[in-house]
Amino acid sequence: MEVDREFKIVTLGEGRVGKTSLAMRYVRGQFNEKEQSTTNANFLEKNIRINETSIKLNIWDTAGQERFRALAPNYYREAKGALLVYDITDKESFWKVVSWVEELKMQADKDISFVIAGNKCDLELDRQIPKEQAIAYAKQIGAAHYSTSAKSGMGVNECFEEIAKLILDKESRSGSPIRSSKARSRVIVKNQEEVVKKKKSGGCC
Amino acid sequence: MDHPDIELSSYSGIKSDYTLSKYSTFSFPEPDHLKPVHYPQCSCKASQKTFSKKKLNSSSYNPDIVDSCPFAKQWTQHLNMPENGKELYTTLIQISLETPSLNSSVRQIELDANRTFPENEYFTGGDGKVVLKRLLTAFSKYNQTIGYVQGMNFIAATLLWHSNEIDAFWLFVGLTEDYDLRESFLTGFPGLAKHCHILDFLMIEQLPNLYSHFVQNGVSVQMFATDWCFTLFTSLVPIEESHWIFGKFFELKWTFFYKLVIEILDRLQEKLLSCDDVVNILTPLKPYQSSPKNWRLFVKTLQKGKEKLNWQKLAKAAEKREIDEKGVNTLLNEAYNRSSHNDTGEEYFNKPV
Repeated sequence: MEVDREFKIVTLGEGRVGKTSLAMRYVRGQFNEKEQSTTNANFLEKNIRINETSIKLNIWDTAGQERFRALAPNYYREAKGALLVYDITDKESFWKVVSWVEELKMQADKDISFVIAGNKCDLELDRQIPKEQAIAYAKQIGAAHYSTSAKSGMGVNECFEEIAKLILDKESRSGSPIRSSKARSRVIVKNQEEVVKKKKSGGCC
Repeated sequence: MDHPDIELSSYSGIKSDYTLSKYSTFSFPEPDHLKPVHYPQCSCKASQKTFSKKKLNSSSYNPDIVDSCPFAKQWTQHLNMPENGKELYTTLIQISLETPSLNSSVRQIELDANRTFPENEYFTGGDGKVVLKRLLTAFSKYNQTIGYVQGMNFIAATLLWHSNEIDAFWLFVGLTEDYDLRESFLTGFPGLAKHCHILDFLMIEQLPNLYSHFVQNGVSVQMFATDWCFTLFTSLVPIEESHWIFGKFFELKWTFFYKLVIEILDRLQEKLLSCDDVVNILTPLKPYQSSPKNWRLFVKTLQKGKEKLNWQKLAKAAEKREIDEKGVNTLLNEAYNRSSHNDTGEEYFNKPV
């Protein structure tokens, strides 16, 4: 299969909000209640198709502890998309998202696309961040907001695919494919290709 | 009754001037602070002879009779363990209990306690979690400059696996101070930069093809060696086997670490050379870590021919490897001269006037 585009996406957010779980659920369809804490970063990839374009997503899943922010620029450098994750049951984790957005606006690629994921939606009863507040914030910064649950799988495919769509949109608007289209033609056996239907799937907001 | 100042003179030279004057008025806490009682969990033969988990219970607890396993005892031989380690440790616990803070270290320790060897019953469901939190919190009080950094949890848990709580704590302190692990954990991670720099140097020397392959594909040493550096491989090696790695590390320090990294890269070289992008190259080096089964699989991927590899054999093979130690030492010395060593003054251990 030929890959038309290759996008690098970085996951950012506080520790234990579920960054690794979201990435693992998306790429491998697995959920591990006992996910180990991430030191540094994990690297995953998945091939998808959006409309007629086949895309390889390189997902760089980072460690959440504040101290590791020093390393983050190495990971979001050249990233075309960022999945900013917070835990809906933990107020502080939402403020971390806000501060990541500020940092990315200053430091990251100016074309970077954001998607915010309010994770652990299966724990709705413990919610601390009103959904409306999160959605309003996302709107304000021009990002999409998704309610996700790595546990149930809700919203997971949608939020990652939304990033890919946003990046594609930006490309087509700017007229020229962004640099990352050093598409190499090669056979990919690793991950099953997933066809994303044209109609917008549920889960957003 | 006022307690006389505790002197740390028996411990490493750096701290010989320090006293616990600030807390000298405290009397030592009852062993209640050390409940639940921690027992080493390893199955190293001799440790089972020295104590029986069944016979001891917390009501008759005396930390002195909980013995560390022979491996852990050997490790302590490489360090100057403080004679009054127990008193100092219990004081630190008292400090953490009396000045509970909601600082980022405490919060992160809480978040990570459940995620340290998540498939290990002792650390997820058992007393181990409480003990691990206690030890890490005590360390974050002991050295507030470093506090708690992700990665420490795996090292501390592995030390606890083999030793009593007091030994585990001072072994951990020894690793940070005498084995320069401190530098890895400091803000900005100067130690990480140093080790990656040395590994670059060694890769160029020993694995030039692989090195240029990495460069061409945008893979840096930091991408795969950071976890290894922060956890001394404890997040990768099954907890039951990591004493083989620790044993060599306590003996040979970072030289062994570098050798082990090069040994692993060398064994994976062929596979890595056939991969042609960042994620594909990093996948064999960073296996999905959540289950001990996968950890065991990792060492199998390093096997050559008919060899039956385990971590003990791998550690031996790595030790035998020859590297340009002179070059490494030059780089280490350069880095040492560049860095300032002023963070060892533990906030609660004041220098006498």
